[in-house]
Amino acid sequence: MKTVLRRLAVAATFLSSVALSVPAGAADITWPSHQWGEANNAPIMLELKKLFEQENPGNTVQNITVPQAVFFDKQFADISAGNPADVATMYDADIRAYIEANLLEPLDAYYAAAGIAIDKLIPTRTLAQKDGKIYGVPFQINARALFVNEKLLNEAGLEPPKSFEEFQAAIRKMRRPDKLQFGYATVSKPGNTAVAYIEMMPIVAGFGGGFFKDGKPNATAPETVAALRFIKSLHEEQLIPRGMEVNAYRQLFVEGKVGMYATGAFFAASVANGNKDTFAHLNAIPLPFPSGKTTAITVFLGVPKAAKNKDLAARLLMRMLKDDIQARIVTVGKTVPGRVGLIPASFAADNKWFKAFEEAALSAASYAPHGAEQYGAEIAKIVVEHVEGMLYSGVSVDETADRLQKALTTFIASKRKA
Amino acid sequence: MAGPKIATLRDFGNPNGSMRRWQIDWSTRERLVPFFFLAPSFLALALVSLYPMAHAFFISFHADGVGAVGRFVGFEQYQRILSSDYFPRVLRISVLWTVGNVIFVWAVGLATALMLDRNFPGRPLVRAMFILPWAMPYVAAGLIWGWMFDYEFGVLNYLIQNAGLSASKLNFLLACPDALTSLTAVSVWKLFPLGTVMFLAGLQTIPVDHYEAARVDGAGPIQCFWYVTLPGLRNVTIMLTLLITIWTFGRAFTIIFLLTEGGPAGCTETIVIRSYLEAFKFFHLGTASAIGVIVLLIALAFSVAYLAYAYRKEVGNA
Amino acid sequence: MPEMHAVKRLAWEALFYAALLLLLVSVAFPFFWMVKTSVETGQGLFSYPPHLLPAAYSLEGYRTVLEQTSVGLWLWNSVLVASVSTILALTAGVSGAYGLSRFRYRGKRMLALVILTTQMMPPLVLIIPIYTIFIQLGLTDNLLGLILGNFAFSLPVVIWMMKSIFDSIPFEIEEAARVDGASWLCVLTRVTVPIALPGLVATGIFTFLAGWDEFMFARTIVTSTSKWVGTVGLASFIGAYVTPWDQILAAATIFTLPPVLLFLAVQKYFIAGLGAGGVKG
Repeated sequence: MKTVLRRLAVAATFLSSVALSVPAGAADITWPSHQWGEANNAPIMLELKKLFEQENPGNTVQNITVPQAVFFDKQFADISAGNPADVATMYDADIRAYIEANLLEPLDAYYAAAGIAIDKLIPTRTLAQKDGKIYGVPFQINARALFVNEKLLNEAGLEPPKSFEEFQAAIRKMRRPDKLQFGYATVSKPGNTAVAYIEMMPIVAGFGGGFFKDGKPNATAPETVAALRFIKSLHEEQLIPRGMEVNAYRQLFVEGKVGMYATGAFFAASVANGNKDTFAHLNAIPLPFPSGKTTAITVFLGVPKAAKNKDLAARLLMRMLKDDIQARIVTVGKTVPGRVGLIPASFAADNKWFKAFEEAALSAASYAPHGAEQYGAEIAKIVVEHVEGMLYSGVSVDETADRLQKALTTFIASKRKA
Repeated sequence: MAGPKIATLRDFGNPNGSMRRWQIDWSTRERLVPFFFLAPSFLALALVSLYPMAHAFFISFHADGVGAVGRFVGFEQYQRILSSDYFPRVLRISVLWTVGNVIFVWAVGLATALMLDRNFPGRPLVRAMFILPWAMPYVAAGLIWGWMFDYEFGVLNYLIQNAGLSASKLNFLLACPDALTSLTAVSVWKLFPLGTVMFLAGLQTIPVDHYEAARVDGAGPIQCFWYVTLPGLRNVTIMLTLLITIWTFGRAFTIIFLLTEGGPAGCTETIVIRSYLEAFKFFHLGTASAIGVIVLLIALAFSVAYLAYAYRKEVGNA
Repeated sequence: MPEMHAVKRLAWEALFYAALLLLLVSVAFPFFWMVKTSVETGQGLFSYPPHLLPAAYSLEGYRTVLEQTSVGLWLWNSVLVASVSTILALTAGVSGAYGLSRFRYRGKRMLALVILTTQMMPPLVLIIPIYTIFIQLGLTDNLLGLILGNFAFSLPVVIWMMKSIFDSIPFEIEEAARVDGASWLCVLTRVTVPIALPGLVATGIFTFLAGWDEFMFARTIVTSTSKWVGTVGLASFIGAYVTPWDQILAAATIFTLPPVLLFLAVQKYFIAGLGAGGVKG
């Protein structure tokens, strides 16, 4: 039965490659994702599934929950074994790697058929574009702004910081070792390099720096070095919880023991679910670092070339870009959707912390190394390894920057000649 | 009276070292019997181990490609790995990790077995408790040890400071070489029960009259241990060493991955962790396969050399 | 002087018990800590100094895990996969070990080495080729694939362990049975295995644990949530944003219980187990 369905799907895909008005044969779209298990994203995705199944009778969407700790490895294993699902979930660096390896289906025809203007998508959409074609759909953009716990600020007699000096003062004033309270939290434990890199980037971008610029290593730029110096000072002066992995210090914030934390809007849902008191005092401001710039992670959805139900999957993704789902991404997911300008006014009014993220989404650059995004994972490892040396092995900031610059130069040279 | 032990490769595993030869009827049907016994195992292994190993071997000669095998590049992957910056470091860490595990699993396992060999009240219960770490799944063990090692809130730092053993908090997982030591401790905690069980069994097979004879000759407890117990446990030691070496060198992953993922600054990055990063984080299947082959060759060379050394013919004087 | 001797002996005894106690506490402490943290409220985890006994008890973690997750289903899948793969591995492994132990033929040493070699490559590197084969065989996303995979992974160790056990059993009894005209299979099943039974049980427990604990393969092969085994279920608590510690430790405790109970039930076989059949001097 399954082979018959599969053959039908293949035939349907063939026929409907351009004339998208032809309804495809009954098919079962596989969509494995860790997001089915996320309290803020699952309802949106389930609604999308329901609407799509109603509007395309005979076709179903298989929602397959995969643990987050396992998901990306499994997705890679599936693609490598020639057995990809119909919908792939990718962050910035992943989608570029997959595009460069020619593994994704171009979606321009579908955008056109659905009447969605590509240039009205959020700026980070360019990551999904190559040579004039677009290979993905931005599901949500998680730009970084600074969450603050106003109760802790008030206790210390502070206002939300507007400048970098105020920010530094606030971190110091809210650090109360007796109460095991911290002013700020960021990466503090060796381990998961991808997460460490993501946690570091708001600071680095905030200083106006970056590890790559236009495809060239940028570790010794003054802005980047300043950011590294700041990170090191946080560790040495024990202003942040040390040796805790990211989910642990996030939990610390939820419990009301951390004053400020830079991350994406999605975190508000965790706070709301975790601790009502903290949520009642939750607010967010733009990152108070010197340059005013910020960074973002965009969650892209795409269709692998070797997927079995490409046409249908692509149409599912287009359905997600319609106004109703885009609004849900805001109200339920509490984050910024792929199309610009669709934030319901009422939501913004009821959730004062959201404004900072809305603004950040429009100006944020991708967290992936600029001009070398597809090597994101390897670059993250090199960067984090050197930063760990700086934090845990006592290497000086300048020495770290020099060594990192050398390592990155060697790395990118080896890629260019290959 | 115990004579000198003469052991040959053919007799390995036989604690009494006797030189039995099986009498076998060499008719054709008889000759085929062992293969019938071996067939199901071999088929299963061929499918799930040997073929994938051959496939990995094959990929290692090709360039890295996402989702498909790259072009043929001969030994280039191997050259790149062997001449890379990370390889000497990764190899050194793997060796340190393996040696640490082997020595301490052997030592703690033996010490525990010796203790449990004596009869004391409550022995069955205590024996059962010593075997518990083996029963605890690696993921659960990784989680709880990670919390115990935590710098800010971990209970180990609390206990150590309270017992006055250290003025400041220890950086269990935040400094090198502390991190590798901590990880080794967790791994030994998890593995030593296997050693205990094997040594306990081995201790049963040492004939009591060997000890009698030694005592008659005036040996104290330490000499008894050195001249009777240790030689009697030789086969167990060899088997245990081989198993632990192969496991920790080429397979140990979960503990390191959950607690440090190779950090800080790559000082707990074993060769297995590296192969994981290459395969699943960097999408370099060719490189990862080549690393796998290198691990295999090292383990194989070690095993062959070790077994040859352990079971070399020694001629004793009667 | 006898009194000095007695004092000396007493001192050694005291030392022995002290060392035993210390080792016991070190070994058991992580268990205690895991269980203790799982029945503590969420705040307990983030308090310093940590409470050696919970300040406030809460079974919230257990309640959430038992009510909102399919932990029962995961455990059942784990039991199924671990036990069936163990039975298969013992069957094939015992006969394979017998073939390696009792006969002499060309290439025997080679064969033994090849079997050991299958343990030497990091499983991570093999996951994708195995996955590809299993896809072609239609063994993905079902427990049968997991069972077969675990069976084949544990086979080499079963063979090696049983071989060394068989090697230590003298051939006399089997020889007598052969002389009486029994077939090799009969000898193996009626004579050898009963003698080696404790060792077989020990090897069986070992294999069961390996299957229970297996994570790499399970997470790749299995997709549907109805096919999750315990290890995958446990990993599912590690969220993208927060990890509910009381829940994950409750789940970890639940997941640790079956193998521990099994262990305690058969542990008396173990000790005699791995040296079975050894003839004392």
